[in-house]
This record gives sequence, structure tokens and C-alpha cells, in this order.
Amino acid sequence: MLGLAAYCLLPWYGVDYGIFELDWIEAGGLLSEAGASGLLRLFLFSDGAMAIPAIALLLLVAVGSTPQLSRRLSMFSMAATIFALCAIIIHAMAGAGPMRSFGYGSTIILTVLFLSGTNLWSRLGKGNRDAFVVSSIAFVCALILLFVFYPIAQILVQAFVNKQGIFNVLGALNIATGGDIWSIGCLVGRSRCGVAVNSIILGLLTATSTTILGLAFALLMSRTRFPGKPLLRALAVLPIITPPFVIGLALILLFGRAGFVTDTISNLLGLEASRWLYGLWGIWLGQTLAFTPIAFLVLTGVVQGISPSLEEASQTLRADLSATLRTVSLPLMKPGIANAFLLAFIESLADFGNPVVLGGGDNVLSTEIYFAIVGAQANMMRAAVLSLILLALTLTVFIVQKRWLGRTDFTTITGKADNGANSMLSRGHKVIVYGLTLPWMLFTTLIYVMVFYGSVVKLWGQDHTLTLAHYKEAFEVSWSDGGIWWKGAAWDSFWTTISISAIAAPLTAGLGLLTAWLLVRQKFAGRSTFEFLTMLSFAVPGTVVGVSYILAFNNAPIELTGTGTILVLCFIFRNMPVGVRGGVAAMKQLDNSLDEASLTLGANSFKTLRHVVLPLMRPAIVSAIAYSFIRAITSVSAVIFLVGADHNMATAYIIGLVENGSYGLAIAYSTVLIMVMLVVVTVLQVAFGKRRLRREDRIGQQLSRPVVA
Amino acid sequence: MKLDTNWQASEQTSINLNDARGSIVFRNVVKKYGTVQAVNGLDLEIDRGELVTLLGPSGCGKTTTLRMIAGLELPSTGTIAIGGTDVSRLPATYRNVSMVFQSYALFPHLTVLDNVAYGLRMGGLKTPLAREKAEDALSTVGLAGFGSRLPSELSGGQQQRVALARAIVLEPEVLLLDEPLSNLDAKLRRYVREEIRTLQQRIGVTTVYVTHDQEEAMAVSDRIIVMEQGKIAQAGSPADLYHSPQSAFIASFIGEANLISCIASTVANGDRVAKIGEYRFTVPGSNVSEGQATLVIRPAAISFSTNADEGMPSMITSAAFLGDRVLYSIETPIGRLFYVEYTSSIRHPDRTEINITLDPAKLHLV
Repeated sequence: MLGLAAYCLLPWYGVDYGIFELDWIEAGGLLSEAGASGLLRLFLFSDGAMAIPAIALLLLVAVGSTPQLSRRLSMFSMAATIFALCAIIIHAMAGAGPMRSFGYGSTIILTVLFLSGTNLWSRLGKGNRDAFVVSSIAFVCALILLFVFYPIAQILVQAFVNKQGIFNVLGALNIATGGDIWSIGCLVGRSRCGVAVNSIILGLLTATSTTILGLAFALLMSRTRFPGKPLLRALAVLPIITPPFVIGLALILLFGRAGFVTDTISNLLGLEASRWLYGLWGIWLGQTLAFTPIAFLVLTGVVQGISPSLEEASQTLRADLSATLRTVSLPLMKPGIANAFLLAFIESLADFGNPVVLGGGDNVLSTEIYFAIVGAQANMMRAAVLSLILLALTLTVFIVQKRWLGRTDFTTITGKADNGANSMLSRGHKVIVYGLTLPWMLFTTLIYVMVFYGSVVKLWGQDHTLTLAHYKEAFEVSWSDGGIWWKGAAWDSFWTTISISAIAAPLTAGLGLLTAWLLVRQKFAGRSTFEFLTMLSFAVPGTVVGVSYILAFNNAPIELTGTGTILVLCFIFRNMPVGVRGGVAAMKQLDNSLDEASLTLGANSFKTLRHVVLPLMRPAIVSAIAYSFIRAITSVSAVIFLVGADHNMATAYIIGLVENGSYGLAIAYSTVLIMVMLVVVTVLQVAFGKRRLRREDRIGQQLSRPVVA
Repeated sequence: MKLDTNWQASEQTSINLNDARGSIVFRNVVKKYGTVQAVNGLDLEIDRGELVTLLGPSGCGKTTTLRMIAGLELPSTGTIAIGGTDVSRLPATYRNVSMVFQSYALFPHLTVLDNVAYGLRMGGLKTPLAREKAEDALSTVGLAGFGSRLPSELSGGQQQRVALARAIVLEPEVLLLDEPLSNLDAKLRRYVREEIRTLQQRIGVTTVYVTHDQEEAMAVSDRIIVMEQGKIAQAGSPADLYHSPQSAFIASFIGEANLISCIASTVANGDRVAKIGEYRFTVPGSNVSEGQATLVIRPAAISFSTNADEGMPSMITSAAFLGDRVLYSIETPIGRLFYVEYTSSIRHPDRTEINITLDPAKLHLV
């Protein structure tokens, strides 16, 4: 409370005399009409509306410096704050003349007014009187509303309102029920299916195959004495640091028309090289490769969560290994398996990278949305309607997963000590598991070898001489005029990617962990709704996010398209649920009595967070930052809509290369990205390991001293 | 920084329930979790310098009561005053109350010294000065020189003392102890509870101690408050509770007792008579109302009689040797009784027939 009050006080003073005058500086000097600060606008350009924030701010400064605050006065200043907030927003939206975007000054003023409002609210005795907690909750909610729900609402508007600004349900329905979306022609063997049907078929196929493979790998990992477990772990991490379309590219190198395997087979058998890869089957193969590790990670937790004593009990009751698995373990895993299936289904629906590379003639929803926007006719309304269909599909699955499976989880750990070991697989099951996993592991390894090989041959399918030309073209550096000249074609987007990801990562982790802390440690009305909303943004497909951001932030009052800011914001709110999840898991490991001890020792909740929770959560923070960084680098689906001429991201650039057929360059660039992320992960791993070592050193050193009991 | 503490203080309207610093007063306090009432209209007064134990079975509301004194929970309704100031809506941060947690809750990332100095630094004390005071507190609990270790490098008993040092270094008005001995082994417990009592007497801090172990409560307390279902069942000194329990619950919870239902009636001199079947026992000094009642028979009220004409003919149904004492189960005409004899061997083996008598002065009616 103290810390936050001081934090709030500073901007109040600063706003009056400092920051206020920086307002709109970019549009030309302070004295020009467009660049004037609020204060100057008030006097020089007789913009009366500018008086409102000034009065509200002065009032808040006065109130803030009054130690004793009557109930009525705080009510009054809160009302004034809310009024000023509304006034600024209405002024911006409905102002005379062309709409103007918010500048630095107004953004800061809005934030300050908002935080003061929540501060006053907490002073009125709400929310346990802890201004920091109240402000944080309000702050996170406001951000989620502004950057997740407001853009999606814009899609709704776009879908149902036509160019003349007339509410038009029929038009939307017309698009939504079109045969090109829902046709099931391909099932009865006549023609092509609609894009939504394609998406759903693909989702079901991918979910089935990844769940089966994931389960096989999970069993291999925890129920056999398979010697290659470390390798398996590495293969599970690789896809996380692989941009999503890279696997698609490798598949093209293998099975495409000029592919290695295609060539060999057609030479051997004299068959015509076919284009089977480009379409639903190819996407399915690509997605199965890409998402099996996710299913594996989810299912490993499920398989290991089965209490060994249940399996041992089954064996003492005369069930053999195979019967135990069939009658006890698998039924207990059912909810976990369903969970993995639904997750894979959502991932498949939302995937953009594989369909855009491998889709060929078969479009799915996510690619259809993209082509509706970048295609020749640039049909925003169609894009919006398709986005709504995609969103409805993923949200339905997400809600099913949360509401229905949330209740039937048998595998939660009871906290009772469980002795014993999980039973091994029976011989028959072992054959099945090995039969599924070993070929797939080989295949995955081959794919990554191909990625590297593809980047060092001259022209795939025609000239297989080894060369570093692609790397040179992308990343050439030369010295000229005493400075470094980043000559390579990729440098520009590479640095943009790294810097934007580096900015977004700590912000993502910070916001995610703050939210996690609020969820785990604070009791407040509507907590479960709050949790649901934060996790909901996880279910919004990247393509939909991209479309919604274009629609929402293309015009005043918030005009961000084409800037780096919109990319950073997009990454923060797309990846925040990852930080929330990690934070929640880590925080649940921390005994609540540590927080309480800190509170009874006179620390407020902000100090407790700063001195107790954050230091203890350091590993979680590090991995949250690393993960958001990696996800920002590898993301494609939302980014592709948001990149501008000044801010091109690596993934969007590579997609461009693929569309032009420059596979060598694209793969070389991807390889470099994978390497960079590998280095980042390794460095963080080492830093994370260091902390442990220090701890052990210390204990070793202490043990040598006599211990006085 | 100043601003908010002033403001907090301004909201604390003094209701002047008690002038003494360190006193605690609960007035009709209710704490609800959803529909569950953890504390149910509690009235409570604890005087300055007292060591009071909140005793009761799990789920009786004792820990919730302690947490409300700490400010970790705020009451749903009712008022709580500490040192004569209403703190009902004041969160833990701003209360002058320290707490020792069941798990000790030592910050694992801070050294022992920084753990003890934590509260001082949060209160705005400069680090060197805070460390100096923390060193003093550590030597008070006999841990001088342990400051640079991490909590994980200490034994359970040492961690417990660090937690105690961390609480008392702030010189709180009230010290709260939440089952402080539950993570120690049996032998250490007796030693540590004596230490806690000695320390409390020396610094004279009002202390509220939560436990479910009646022996522990009787050993350390000035006063015991037995709670049942969110309310006070009975409060008093350990001897009061043992010798004049007001309910069967108290009688069975404080010390061991045989509880036998009976019919109570009054005789000429005002004494009560308990009637069980054909047997009648005079219970002097009881004021239980007539009718259905419970006769409390402590093991100490029972004695074996060698005279076959005296007492009730009974039979030993089991005898367990526990080293310093023998535990008997006896089938009697008024029901099964247990009896403890302090001897070094079993004198009356299983299935021995024996006559037992009850000492009227050691019987209670509730």
C-alpha cells in the first residue's frame, strides 16, 4: 500500500509539470495544433475539454497529500476520477474533426487516473484495503478487456456491419452458411470439402494420431527400461524451439515433387512423381510431427500421476501386467487422454504454419482467413465471419475441456506418500509401444537432419552440391567505412524479431506471474471468472488474434498497426496464459504460510511479493521469460497480419521466402533461428542450474562445521 | 510513505474496551466461509501478559480465531480489539501482532539472520541496525552464531527457535503460536514448551497458543479456552477445567475420564446423588440440575478393594503393561471403566474378579 501510494504520487506530480508537456511531441513542436500538450491545448487552442483531466489530476494530488480522508471526500474524488476517465475517452472517440490517436501524454494520464481510481476504491475499504492488490486486479482485467476482448468484439462488429455502417446479419449468415465453408463433398467423393469441414476433419485426424503416439511415448518413457530416454526428452523439446512451418518445409524436401524420397521411389519404380503431400494428408503428417511432443508432455504427467499402489493392488488381486493396464491404469488415464486429444484438436484448428506451407489446394479456416485478407479481393467481412467460426470451434472445445474434464480428474496427487513403483508394460504392450515409437523417432530425427541438410545444398532436387551460399545470402556481414554493414537479407527481420521478442518476454512473464499470484494468493469476488477469462485467451487462435488486432487498432483512438508496439502487445497477450500456468504451478508449491508470515511481520502485499514470493519463484520466472521469448520468435499465425514494412518478423519473412520458392534460404534462416533459441535455452538452463549449485556448496560447507543441536 | 500509516491510524476509532496494551477482546465475532460457520458468535477476553491456550478438536475454530487475531482473516461480523483499539477491519500488515507458524514459515532464500531481521526492515529500520537487533534476538533463543546459515541447514528445533526469535524481535503486543510443537519429536516437545513458557514469562508478552494436545495446553497455560464448533465450551485455569468440568465434552477432553449416564437427584444437605441402576453415588458440591446427567469418573477416583463385601463386584477384561503404569479395562455393574495403576508389573491379570470402590470426593456430575 505504501509503495504503491508513493508510486502513484510520483506520476501525479510528474503529470502536471513534466510528462504533460511531452504530450504529442512526435507530431511537431509543442506549439503546433497537433503537437500541443493537454495544458497548452487548454490555453492556446481553447480546447475546453482539456480542463477536465487537469482538474481531476489536481484534485487527486490534493487528496493524495491529505493523510486523513473522509468517506465522502474519497467517494467524491473517485467519482471525479471516473468522470475524467470517461471524458477523455469520449473526447477522443467523439471529438470534432478527424479522430486522433492517443499520444504518450494521454496514455500516461489515463493509466494514472485509472490506478488512482482503484487506489481510492481500496481506501473505501474494499478488497482488504490493499491498494496494490486492488489496483493489480483492476489493471490486469482492464488490459485483458482492452487487448483480448475489445479486439474480438471488433470482429463481431466487422462481421455484422457492412460498409455503409448498416447492421447486416443476412450478409454474415450468407457467408457463414456458404458451401465453400461447410460442403462435405469430399466425404461422398464428389468434390472438395468446405474449409470449416476441412479444419474439423484435420483436427480429428491430428488429435487422434498425436494422442496415440503421445500415449505410446509416455508409456515408453515411464513404463519401460528404454535406454534412449535422454534422446527422447531432447526430441520432445525440439519442436518447441522450431518455427511451426519448418517441419512442413522438411516434409517438402522429403516427399514434395522434387523430394528426396519421391525422387528415389519414382526412379526405382518408374512412377510419376505425385503431389499427394500438398493437401490435407500433408498437413496431417506435418501437424502430427509438430504436436506429438505436446501430447507426449501432457500424457507423461497423466501416466506418472497414476498411483503405483493402485496398480500394485491390482496385481495382488491376480491381474497380470496386461490386465492391470487394461482394467486399472487406462481407465484412470481416460480424462487425461481426452484432455490431450482436445488440446491437440485446438492446436490443429489454430495452426497456420503447416497449412500455409503444405495446404496446396486444400484450405483450412486459418489459411482461408489469411487469404481473405491478403488475397486479391481483400474481403475483411469474410475474414471476420471465418474468424468467428474458427473462434466458436476452439472456444467450444476449450470450454468442453475445462468444464467437463475439470471435474473428472482421477490422477490428482492426494498428498499421501505413495510407496512402490508403477508397473512395467507387459510383453505384448511393449511390442505395440516400441512398434509405434521407434519408427516415429527415426522419422523425426530424419526430419531435423533434412532441415540442416536442406540449408547447405545449392538447389534442392536439382543440384545437391554442398554450399554455404544460403547462409551467406541471409547473414552476410561485411566491414565498410569502419563500421559493420549487415549486408545479409535476413538481418533486418532477424534483429526486429530478437528485439521485439526480448521486449515482449519479460513483460509477458511479469504480467503472467502477477496474474498467477492474484489467482493463487488473493481471495476476491469473481476470482474464478477472472481465471477463466485469462485462460480463455489461450483458446483464441493466432489467426483470429491477428485479424482482431488489425480491426481494433487500425484507427483512433488506438492506432498501432504497422508499429512494433502492436507486435509486442500481441505477444504479451497471446503468451500470457503460459506465464500464468507456470506461475500458478510454481506458486502452489510455495506454502501460503510464507506469505502470511511476511504479512504478520509487517510487510504489505507488494513487499511480500517483492521480498518473499519473487525470490522463491526465480526458476519459474526464468522459464516463463525463456518460453515467452521462444514463443514470440516462433509464432506465425498472428504475426503475419501485423508485420509492417518497418517491422518485419523472421517468421513472416520466411513464409514470404517459401511462397517465392526460395526453400534453401528459408531453411537456412530457420536453422539459424533454431540455433539461436537453443543457445538461449541452454544459457538459461545453465543460469538456472547455477543457483542449485550454490545452494549445495553452501550446505556442504556448513556440514563440515559441528552442528549444535 | 508516511501518508498511509497516518490514514490507517485515523480509521481506528478507539472504543476503549480495555486500557491495557496487549489485551484482546472479541465481541460476538462470526467468521463464515461460504455457508460454513467456522467461528460462531465468539466472545473472548484475554488480559495483558497472559498465556492463553485455544484448545479443541480439529475444526473447532481455534485456528480461525488465531488467524483473526493475526489479521490474516477478517471477521464476517463482530468486533475485535487489540490493546483497546478496534482492529476488526485492519489487515495483518498493520497489526502489532507476531505469529509463529506451524510450519515455521521461515523464508528459505534468506539466512537465519535475515529472516529474523525481516520484520524490522519492513518496518523501515536500516539494515545494519536491524541485523544488530536480530543478533540479540537470536542469542535470546540460544542461537547466537547461527545467523549466516540457511533455514534448511538447521534442525527442526532450531528452526522453531528462529521462528520464535523472528516473532519476538518486533516486540509485538501479542504473540501468536499455531501448534508450535507439532513438527517436533516427542522428546523435544516437553523441553521446547518449557522454553516457550520461560521466555513468555520473561518478556511478559500476551500470548495466544493454539494446540489440540490437552497435556501441552495444561503444561504451558495460565488459562485454557476450550472451543467446540466455533464457540467457547469452557474457559478457565487448567485445574478448574480438570476438577470442575461443565460438560461431558470438557470432562473427556481435559484429562481422561469414564463417562456414565445417570439420573441425578438432590438429597437433604444439598448434595447430589447419581443413580445408575441399583447403585447410588453421593457427589458433594455439585449443582447439576436434577434428571438425566453424566457421572464423570476419573481413573484416580477408582480403587480396588480386597474386601468382598465392599464396592461393586467387577472383572478385569484386559490389562496392558506400559512400563511405568498398567492400563486396566474393568467390566462393572455400571458399565465398562478404565483404570490406571502406577506400578511396575501387572498385579491383576485378565479375567481376575475384583471389587472396586469410587471415591465420592473425586466424582463430578455434569
